Amino acid sequence: MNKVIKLIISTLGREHPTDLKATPERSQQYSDLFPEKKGFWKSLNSKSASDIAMNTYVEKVFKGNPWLEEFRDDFVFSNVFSNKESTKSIPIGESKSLIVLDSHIQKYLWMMNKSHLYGGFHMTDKDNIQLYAEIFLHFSSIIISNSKKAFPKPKTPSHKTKDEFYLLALHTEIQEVFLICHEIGHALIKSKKYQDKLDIISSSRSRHIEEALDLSGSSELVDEEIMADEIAFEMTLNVYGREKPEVVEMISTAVFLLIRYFLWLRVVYKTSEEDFEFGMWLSRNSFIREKVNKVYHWDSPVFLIMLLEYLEVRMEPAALIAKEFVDEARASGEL
Amino acid sequence: MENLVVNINGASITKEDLSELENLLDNTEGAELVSITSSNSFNGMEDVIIILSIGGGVAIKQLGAVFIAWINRDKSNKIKYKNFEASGYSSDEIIKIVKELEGE
Repeated sequence: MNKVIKLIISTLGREHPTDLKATPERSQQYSDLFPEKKGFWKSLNSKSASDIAMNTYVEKVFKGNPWLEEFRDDFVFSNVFSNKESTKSIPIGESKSLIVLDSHIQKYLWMMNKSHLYGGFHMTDKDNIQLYAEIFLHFSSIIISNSKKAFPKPKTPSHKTKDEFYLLALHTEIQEVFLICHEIGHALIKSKKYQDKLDIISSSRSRHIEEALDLSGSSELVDEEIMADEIAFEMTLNVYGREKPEVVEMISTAVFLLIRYFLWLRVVYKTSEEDFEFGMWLSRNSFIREKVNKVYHWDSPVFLIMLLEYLEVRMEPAALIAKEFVDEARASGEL
Repeated sequence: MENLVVNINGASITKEDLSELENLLDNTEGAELVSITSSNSFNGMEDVIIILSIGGGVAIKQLGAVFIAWINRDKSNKIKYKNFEASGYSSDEIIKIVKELEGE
Protein backbone atom coordinates (compact mmCIF):
# COMPACT_ATOMS: atom_id res chain seq x y z
CA MET A 1 0.00 0.00 0.00
CA ASN A 2 1.41 3.37 -0.88
CA LYS A 3 3.04 5.53 1.76
CA VAL A 4 0.58 8.42 1.64
CA ILE A 5 -2.37 6.06 2.06
CA LYS A 6 -0.64 4.52 5.07
CA LEU A 7 -0.13 8.00 6.53
CA ILE A 8 -3.81 8.85 6.01
CA ILE A 9 -4.84 5.63 7.71
CA SER A 10 -2.47 6.38 10.60
CA THR A 11 -4.48 9.53 11.37
CA LEU A 12 -7.60 7.39 11.75
CA GLY A 13 -6.22 4.55 13.85
CA ARG A 14 -3.69 1.76 13.49
CA GLU A 15 -3.33 -1.70 12.05
CA HIS A 16 -5.34 -4.38 13.76
CA PRO A 17 -3.19 -6.11 16.38
CA THR A 18 -2.11 -9.68 15.84
CA ASP A 19 -1.99 -10.38 19.58
CA LEU A 20 -5.66 -9.60 20.21
CA LYS A 21 -7.69 -12.79 20.19
CA ALA A 22 -11.04 -14.03 21.50
CA THR A 23 -11.08 -14.93 25.17
CA PRO A 24 -10.60 -18.64 25.98
CA GLU A 25 -14.27 -18.82 26.95
CA ARG A 26 -15.37 -17.38 23.62
CA SER A 27 -12.92 -19.54 21.66
CA GLN A 28 -14.40 -22.58 23.38
CA GLN A 29 -17.90 -21.54 22.30
CA TYR A 30 -16.76 -21.23 18.68
CA SER A 31 -14.99 -24.60 18.87
CA ASP A 32 -18.11 -26.22 20.38
CA LEU A 33 -20.31 -24.87 17.57
CA PHE A 34 -17.81 -25.59 14.80
CA PRO A 35 -15.54 -28.42 16.01
CA GLU A 36 -14.28 -29.05 12.49
CA LYS A 37 -12.66 -25.59 12.58
CA LYS A 38 -11.13 -25.81 16.04
CA GLY A 39 -7.63 -24.91 14.83
CA PHE A 40 -8.95 -21.92 12.88
CA TRP A 41 -10.62 -20.35 15.92
CA LYS A 42 -7.51 -20.82 18.06
CA SER A 43 -5.29 -19.08 15.52
CA LEU A 44 -7.72 -16.25 14.66
CA ASN A 45 -6.67 -12.78 15.82
CA SER A 46 -8.01 -9.28 15.30
CA LYS A 47 -5.86 -8.65 12.22
CA SER A 48 -6.64 -11.92 10.44
CA ALA A 49 -10.35 -11.66 11.29
CA SER A 50 -10.64 -8.10 10.01
CA ASP A 51 -8.67 -8.90 6.85
CA ILE A 52 -10.87 -11.94 6.11
CA ALA A 53 -13.99 -9.86 6.70
CA MET A 54 -12.85 -6.96 4.52
CA ASN A 55 -11.74 -9.20 1.65
CA THR A 56 -15.02 -11.14 1.84
CA TYR A 57 -17.13 -7.97 1.82
CA VAL A 58 -15.23 -6.39 -1.07
CA GLU A 59 -15.55 -9.54 -3.20
CA LYS A 60 -19.28 -9.77 -2.44
CA VAL A 61 -19.84 -6.11 -3.29
CA PHE A 62 -18.14 -6.41 -6.68
CA LYS A 63 -19.71 -9.78 -7.48
CA GLY A 64 -23.18 -8.46 -6.65
CA ASN A 65 -22.57 -5.21 -8.56
CA PRO A 66 -20.73 -6.15 -11.75
CA TRP A 67 -21.30 -2.65 -13.19
CA LEU A 68 -18.75 -1.45 -10.61
CA GLU A 69 -15.99 -3.79 -11.80
CA GLU A 70 -14.72 -1.42 -14.50
CA PHE A 71 -13.89 1.04 -11.72
CA ARG A 72 -12.36 -1.44 -9.33
CA ASP A 73 -8.93 0.18 -9.54
CA ASP A 74 -10.46 3.48 -8.38
CA PHE A 75 -10.93 2.06 -4.90
CA VAL A 76 -8.49 1.14 -2.17
CA PHE A 77 -10.04 -0.67 0.79
CA SER A 78 -8.63 -0.73 4.27
CA ASN A 79 -9.66 -1.68 7.77
CA VAL A 80 -8.41 0.27 10.76
CA PHE A 81 -8.20 -0.48 14.46
CA SER A 82 -9.69 2.61 16.04
CA ASN A 83 -11.34 3.89 19.21
CA LYS A 84 -13.71 6.16 17.33
CA GLU A 85 -16.04 6.17 14.36
CA SER A 86 -13.64 6.31 11.43
CA THR A 87 -15.52 4.56 8.64
CA LYS A 88 -15.22 6.90 5.71
CA SER A 89 -14.40 7.55 2.10
CA ILE A 90 -11.40 9.77 1.31
CA PRO A 91 -10.40 11.03 -2.14
CA ILE A 92 -6.68 10.26 -2.55
CA GLY A 93 -5.97 11.79 -5.93
CA GLU A 94 -5.92 10.46 -9.49
CA SER A 95 -9.69 9.83 -9.23
CA LYS A 96 -9.14 7.22 -6.53
CA SER A 97 -10.87 6.83 -3.17
CA LEU A 98 -9.74 5.18 0.02
CA ILE A 99 -12.61 3.33 1.72
CA VAL A 100 -12.01 2.66 5.41
CA LEU A 101 -13.96 0.38 7.76
CA ASP A 102 -13.19 0.83 11.45
CA SER A 103 -13.14 -1.61 14.35
CA HIS A 104 -14.98 0.73 16.76
CA ILE A 105 -18.15 0.66 14.63
CA GLN A 106 -17.71 -3.04 13.90
CA LYS A 107 -17.51 -3.84 17.59
CA TYR A 108 -20.53 -1.64 18.34
CA LEU A 109 -22.64 -3.36 15.69
CA TRP A 110 -21.61 -6.84 16.81
CA MET A 111 -22.47 -6.15 20.44
CA MET A 112 -25.75 -4.38 19.63
CA ASN A 113 -26.77 -7.22 17.33
CA LYS A 114 -25.99 -9.71 20.07
CA SER A 115 -28.12 -7.74 22.48
CA HIS A 116 -30.95 -7.54 19.93
CA LEU A 117 -30.86 -11.15 18.76
CA TYR A 118 -29.47 -13.15 21.66
CA GLY A 119 -31.13 -10.82 24.14
CA GLY A 120 -34.40 -11.37 22.37
CA PHE A 121 -34.00 -15.14 22.37
CA HIS A 122 -32.74 -15.66 25.90
CA MET A 123 -33.02 -12.59 28.13
CA THR A 124 -35.82 -11.02 30.11
CA ASP A 125 -36.83 -7.44 29.30
CA LYS A 126 -35.00 -6.22 32.42
CA ASP A 127 -31.74 -8.03 31.74
CA ASN A 128 -31.74 -7.09 28.08
CA ILE A 129 -32.39 -3.43 28.91
CA GLN A 130 -29.42 -3.56 31.27
CA LEU A 131 -27.19 -5.05 28.60
CA TYR A 132 -28.20 -2.43 26.03
CA ALA A 133 -27.61 0.33 28.60
CA GLU A 134 -24.12 -0.97 29.38
CA ILE A 135 -23.27 -1.12 25.68
CA PHE A 136 -24.52 2.43 25.16
CA LEU A 137 -22.54 3.61 28.21
CA HIS A 138 -19.34 1.90 27.08
CA PHE A 139 -19.35 3.25 23.54
CA SER A 140 -20.64 6.72 24.34
CA SER A 141 -18.05 7.21 27.08
CA ILE A 142 -15.26 6.19 24.70
CA ILE A 143 -16.46 8.78 22.21
CA ILE A 144 -17.00 11.56 24.76
CA SER A 145 -13.69 11.11 26.53
CA ASN A 146 -11.68 10.22 23.42
CA SER A 147 -10.90 6.90 25.11
CA LYS A 148 -9.39 8.53 28.18
CA LYS A 149 -12.16 7.16 30.40
CA ALA A 150 -14.74 4.56 29.57
CA PHE A 151 -17.50 2.71 31.27
CA PRO A 152 -16.48 -0.96 31.12
CA LYS A 153 -17.30 -3.14 28.13
CA PRO A 154 -20.13 -5.44 29.16
CA LYS A 155 -20.05 -9.19 28.83
CA THR A 156 -22.42 -10.28 26.08
CA PRO A 157 -24.36 -13.55 25.91
CA SER A 158 -22.73 -16.80 24.84
CA HIS A 159 -23.08 -18.30 21.39
CA LYS A 160 -25.45 -21.16 22.01
CA THR A 161 -26.53 -22.60 18.66
CA LYS A 162 -25.28 -22.54 15.07
CA ASP A 163 -28.56 -21.06 13.77
CA GLU A 164 -28.39 -18.16 16.21
CA PHE A 165 -24.73 -17.57 15.41
CA TYR A 166 -25.43 -17.56 11.66
CA LEU A 167 -28.24 -15.06 12.16
CA LEU A 168 -25.96 -12.80 14.21
CA ALA A 169 -23.12 -13.09 11.71
CA LEU A 170 -25.41 -12.46 8.72
CA HIS A 171 -27.07 -9.39 10.28
CA THR A 172 -23.65 -7.94 11.05
CA GLU A 173 -22.26 -8.79 7.64
CA ILE A 174 -25.20 -7.11 5.87
CA GLN A 175 -24.65 -3.99 7.97
CA GLU A 176 -20.90 -3.88 7.27
CA VAL A 177 -21.45 -4.45 3.56
CA PHE A 178 -23.95 -1.57 3.68
CA LEU A 179 -21.29 0.63 5.33
CA ILE A 180 -18.77 -0.15 2.59
CA CYS A 181 -21.37 0.45 -0.12
CA HIS A 182 -22.33 3.75 1.54
CA GLU A 183 -18.73 4.94 1.36
CA ILE A 184 -18.43 3.79 -2.25
CA GLY A 185 -21.63 5.74 -2.78
CA HIS A 186 -19.94 8.97 -1.65
CA ALA A 187 -17.19 8.43 -4.18
CA LEU A 188 -19.76 7.77 -6.92
CA ILE A 189 -21.70 10.92 -6.01
CA LYS A 190 -18.65 13.18 -5.95
CA SER A 191 -17.22 12.40 -9.37
CA LYS A 192 -18.82 13.09 -12.76
CA LYS A 193 -17.08 9.96 -13.98
CA TYR A 194 -19.72 7.73 -12.39
CA GLN A 195 -22.85 9.76 -13.06
CA ASP A 196 -24.38 7.45 -15.65
CA LYS A 197 -23.92 4.52 -13.27
CA LEU A 198 -26.08 6.13 -10.61
CA ASP A 199 -29.18 5.47 -12.70
CA ILE A 200 -28.28 1.80 -12.80
CA ILE A 201 -28.52 1.83 -9.04
CA SER A 202 -31.73 3.72 -8.69
CA SER A 203 -33.88 5.61 -11.13
CA SER A 204 -35.79 7.44 -8.46
CA ARG A 205 -34.61 9.20 -5.35
CA SER A 206 -36.54 10.46 -2.42
CA ARG A 207 -35.48 13.07 0.05
CA HIS A 208 -36.44 14.22 3.47
CA ILE A 209 -34.87 17.60 3.24
CA GLU A 210 -37.87 19.29 4.83
CA GLU A 211 -37.27 17.42 8.04
CA ALA A 212 -33.58 18.23 7.97
CA LEU A 213 -34.18 21.89 7.19
CA ASP A 214 -36.28 22.21 10.31
CA LEU A 215 -33.38 21.12 12.44
CA SER A 216 -30.24 22.17 10.71
CA GLY A 217 -28.85 24.57 8.14
CA SER A 218 -26.77 22.03 6.30
CA SER A 219 -29.28 20.28 4.07
CA GLU A 220 -26.71 19.62 1.36
CA LEU A 221 -24.75 17.38 3.66
CA VAL A 222 -27.87 15.49 4.78
CA ASP A 223 -28.96 15.19 1.16
CA GLU A 224 -25.65 13.56 0.25
CA GLU A 225 -25.84 11.15 3.20
CA ILE A 226 -29.32 10.06 2.11
CA MET A 227 -28.14 9.62 -1.48
CA ALA A 228 -25.25 7.48 -0.25
CA ASP A 229 -27.71 5.45 1.87
CA GLU A 230 -29.88 4.86 -1.18
CA ILE A 231 -26.93 3.75 -3.28
CA ALA A 232 -25.80 1.49 -0.44
CA PHE A 233 -29.25 -0.05 -0.02
CA GLU A 234 -29.52 -0.87 -3.70
CA MET A 235 -25.97 -2.24 -3.85
CA THR A 236 -26.59 -4.36 -0.74
CA LEU A 237 -29.79 -5.76 -2.27
CA ASN A 238 -27.73 -6.62 -5.36
CA VAL A 239 -25.26 -8.53 -3.18
CA TYR A 240 -27.79 -10.72 -1.37
CA GLY A 241 -30.72 -10.73 -3.78
CA ARG A 242 -34.03 -8.95 -4.08
CA GLU A 243 -36.24 -11.72 -5.44
CA LYS A 244 -37.26 -13.41 -2.19
CA PRO A 245 -39.33 -11.60 0.45
CA GLU A 246 -37.49 -13.23 3.34
CA VAL A 247 -34.11 -12.01 2.01
CA VAL A 248 -35.37 -8.46 1.45
CA GLU A 249 -36.92 -8.55 4.93
CA MET A 250 -33.59 -9.55 6.47
CA ILE A 251 -31.64 -6.86 4.60
CA SER A 252 -34.25 -4.24 5.46
CA THR A 253 -34.23 -5.26 9.12
CA ALA A 254 -30.43 -5.23 9.37
CA VAL A 255 -30.09 -1.82 7.71
CA PHE A 256 -32.95 -0.31 9.70
CA LEU A 257 -31.37 -1.58 12.92
CA LEU A 258 -28.02 -0.08 11.88
CA ILE A 259 -29.56 3.38 11.53
CA ARG A 260 -31.49 3.03 14.80
CA TYR A 261 -28.33 1.97 16.64
CA PHE A 262 -26.53 5.13 15.48
CA LEU A 263 -29.53 7.34 16.17
CA TRP A 264 -30.04 6.12 19.72
CA LEU A 265 -26.32 6.28 20.52
CA ARG A 266 -26.57 9.99 19.70
CA VAL A 267 -29.51 10.27 22.07
CA VAL A 268 -27.22 8.95 24.80
CA TYR A 269 -24.26 11.27 24.36
CA LYS A 270 -25.16 14.25 22.21
CA THR A 271 -26.28 17.43 23.92
CA SER A 272 -29.38 19.37 22.96
CA GLU A 273 -27.26 22.01 21.20
CA GLU A 274 -26.02 19.43 18.74
CA ASP A 275 -29.35 19.13 16.95
CA PHE A 276 -27.83 18.87 13.49
CA GLU A 277 -26.87 15.24 14.05
CA PHE A 278 -30.30 14.32 15.38
CA GLY A 279 -31.86 15.88 12.32
CA MET A 280 -29.55 14.01 10.02
CA TRP A 281 -30.19 10.61 11.62
CA LEU A 282 -33.96 11.20 11.77
CA SER A 283 -33.91 12.05 8.06
CA ARG A 284 -31.88 8.95 7.24
CA ASN A 285 -34.21 6.85 9.38
CA SER A 286 -37.26 8.20 7.53
CA PHE A 287 -35.60 7.57 4.19
CA ILE A 288 -34.79 3.94 5.01
CA ARG A 289 -38.40 3.33 6.09
CA GLU A 290 -39.66 4.75 2.82
CA LYS A 291 -37.07 2.76 0.88
CA VAL A 292 -38.16 -0.48 2.55
CA ASN A 293 -41.80 0.34 1.68
CA LYS A 294 -40.73 0.50 -1.96
CA VAL A 295 -38.44 -2.54 -2.18
CA TYR A 296 -40.62 -4.88 -0.12
CA HIS A 297 -43.29 -5.00 -2.78
CA TRP A 298 -45.04 -8.21 -1.68
CA ASP A 299 -47.00 -6.61 1.11
CA SER A 300 -46.84 -3.86 3.67
CA PRO A 301 -43.57 -4.30 5.65
CA VAL A 302 -45.29 -5.01 8.92
CA PHE A 303 -42.03 -6.50 10.19
CA LEU A 304 -40.63 -2.96 10.53
CA ILE A 305 -43.54 -1.88 12.71
CA MET A 306 -43.09 -4.95 14.88
CA LEU A 307 -39.37 -4.25 15.10
CA LEU A 308 -39.99 -0.66 16.16
CA GLU A 309 -42.43 -1.78 18.84
CA TYR A 310 -39.90 -4.27 20.12
CA LEU A 311 -37.11 -1.68 20.20
CA GLU A 312 -39.42 0.63 22.16
CA VAL A 313 -39.64 -1.99 24.89
CA ARG A 314 -35.94 -2.79 25.25
CA MET A 315 -33.39 -0.73 23.35
CA GLU A 316 -34.92 2.71 23.65
CA PRO A 317 -35.57 2.68 27.41
CA ALA A 318 -31.98 1.47 27.82
CA ALA A 319 -30.72 4.46 25.85
CA LEU A 320 -32.62 6.83 28.12
CA ILE A 321 -31.20 5.11 31.21
CA ALA A 322 -27.70 5.36 29.75
CA LYS A 323 -28.27 9.03 28.96
CA GLU A 324 -29.02 9.76 32.61
CA PHE A 325 -25.75 8.12 33.63
CA VAL A 326 -23.81 10.04 30.99
CA ASP A 327 -25.41 13.34 32.02
CA GLU A 328 -24.51 12.66 35.67
CA ALA A 329 -20.97 11.67 34.75
CA ARG A 330 -20.58 14.88 32.75
CA ALA A 331 -22.04 17.01 35.56
CA SER A 332 -19.67 15.47 38.11
CA GLY A 333 -16.66 15.89 35.81
CA GLU A 334 -16.15 12.15 35.54
CA LEU A 335 -16.64 12.40 31.77
CA MET B 1 11.31 15.83 1.62
CA GLU B 2 8.81 13.58 3.27
CA ASN B 3 5.03 13.46 3.30
CA LEU B 4 2.96 14.68 6.19
CA VAL B 5 -0.74 14.04 6.48
CA VAL B 6 -2.85 16.22 8.72
CA ASN B 7 -6.40 15.20 9.52
CA ILE B 8 -8.60 17.96 10.89
CA ASN B 9 -11.47 16.05 12.48
CA GLY B 10 -15.03 17.22 12.20
CA ALA B 11 -14.21 20.12 9.93
CA SER B 12 -16.02 20.93 6.76
CA ILE B 13 -14.30 23.09 4.19
CA THR B 14 -15.79 25.80 2.03
CA LYS B 15 -14.12 27.27 -1.03
CA GLU B 16 -13.20 30.33 1.03
CA ASP B 17 -11.67 28.18 3.79
CA LEU B 18 -9.69 26.27 1.19
CA SER B 19 -8.38 29.40 -0.45
CA GLU B 20 -7.33 30.85 2.89
CA LEU B 21 -5.54 27.69 3.97
CA GLU B 22 -3.79 27.39 0.63
CA ASN B 23 -2.54 30.97 0.96
CA LEU B 24 -1.30 30.34 4.49
CA LEU B 25 0.51 27.19 3.41
CA ASP B 26 2.01 28.87 0.36
CA ASN B 27 3.73 31.28 2.72
CA THR B 28 5.11 28.56 4.93
CA GLU B 29 8.76 27.82 4.29
CA GLY B 30 9.72 24.25 3.69
CA ALA B 31 6.23 22.94 3.13
CA GLU B 32 4.54 22.23 -0.14
CA LEU B 33 0.86 21.58 -0.31
CA VAL B 34 0.09 18.39 -2.19
CA SER B 35 -3.67 18.23 -1.67
CA ILE B 36 -6.58 19.17 0.55
CA THR B 37 -9.68 17.04 0.48
CA SER B 38 -12.78 16.41 2.53
CA SER B 39 -13.60 12.93 3.61
CA ASN B 40 -17.14 11.68 4.16
CA SER B 41 -17.79 9.61 7.24
CA PHE B 42 -20.72 7.25 7.75
CA ASN B 43 -21.73 9.33 10.76
CA GLY B 44 -22.10 12.42 8.55
CA MET B 45 -19.03 14.19 9.84
CA GLU B 46 -16.46 15.55 7.44
CA ASP B 47 -12.75 15.60 8.07
CA VAL B 48 -10.29 17.72 6.15
CA ILE B 49 -7.30 15.68 5.00
CA ILE B 50 -4.28 17.74 4.09
CA ILE B 51 -1.29 16.13 2.42
CA LEU B 52 1.95 18.06 2.47
CA SER B 53 5.48 17.52 1.36
CA ILE B 54 7.80 18.88 4.06
CA GLY B 55 11.49 19.31 4.69
CA GLY B 56 12.40 19.48 8.34
CA GLY B 57 11.71 20.69 11.87
CA VAL B 58 11.29 24.36 11.05
CA ALA B 59 8.43 23.55 8.73
CA ILE B 60 6.70 21.50 11.41
CA LYS B 61 6.59 24.40 13.88
CA GLN B 62 5.42 26.82 11.31
CA LEU B 63 2.82 24.37 10.08
CA GLY B 64 1.50 23.92 13.59
CA ALA B 65 1.02 27.67 13.85
CA VAL B 66 -0.63 27.82 10.45
CA PHE B 67 -3.15 25.09 11.15
CA ILE B 68 -4.08 26.39 14.56
CA ALA B 69 -4.42 29.92 13.29
CA TRP B 70 -6.73 28.57 10.61
CA ILE B 71 -8.87 26.31 12.77
CA ASN B 72 -9.00 28.68 15.73
CA ARG B 73 -11.92 30.39 14.15
CA ASP B 74 -14.04 27.44 15.23
CA LYS B 75 -12.76 26.01 18.46
CA SER B 76 -14.76 22.82 18.17
CA ASN B 77 -12.44 21.64 15.40
CA LYS B 78 -9.57 19.37 16.27
CA ILE B 79 -6.23 18.74 14.69
CA LYS B 80 -4.38 15.44 14.75
CA TYR B 81 -0.67 15.23 14.04
CA LYS B 82 0.82 11.73 14.43
CA ASN B 83 -0.54 10.71 17.85
CA PHE B 84 -1.18 14.25 19.05
CA GLU B 85 -4.59 15.87 18.98
CA ALA B 86 -5.28 19.54 19.64
CA SER B 87 -8.47 21.49 19.89
CA GLY B 88 -8.78 25.26 20.08
CA TYR B 89 -5.18 26.00 21.04
CA SER B 90 -3.54 29.31 20.26
CA SER B 91 -0.65 29.44 17.81
CA ASP B 92 1.90 29.96 20.61
CA GLU B 93 0.57 27.00 22.54
CA ILE B 94 0.72 24.67 19.59
CA ILE B 95 4.24 25.76 18.69
CA LYS B 96 5.28 24.90 22.25
CA ILE B 97 3.56 21.54 22.05
CA VAL B 98 5.04 20.72 18.68
CA LYS B 99 8.52 21.64 19.97
CA GLU B 100 8.01 19.18 22.82
CA LEU B 101 6.86 16.54 20.37
CA GLU B 102 9.88 17.11 18.18
CA GLY B 103 12.18 16.84 21.19
CA GLU B 104 13.40 20.43 21.39
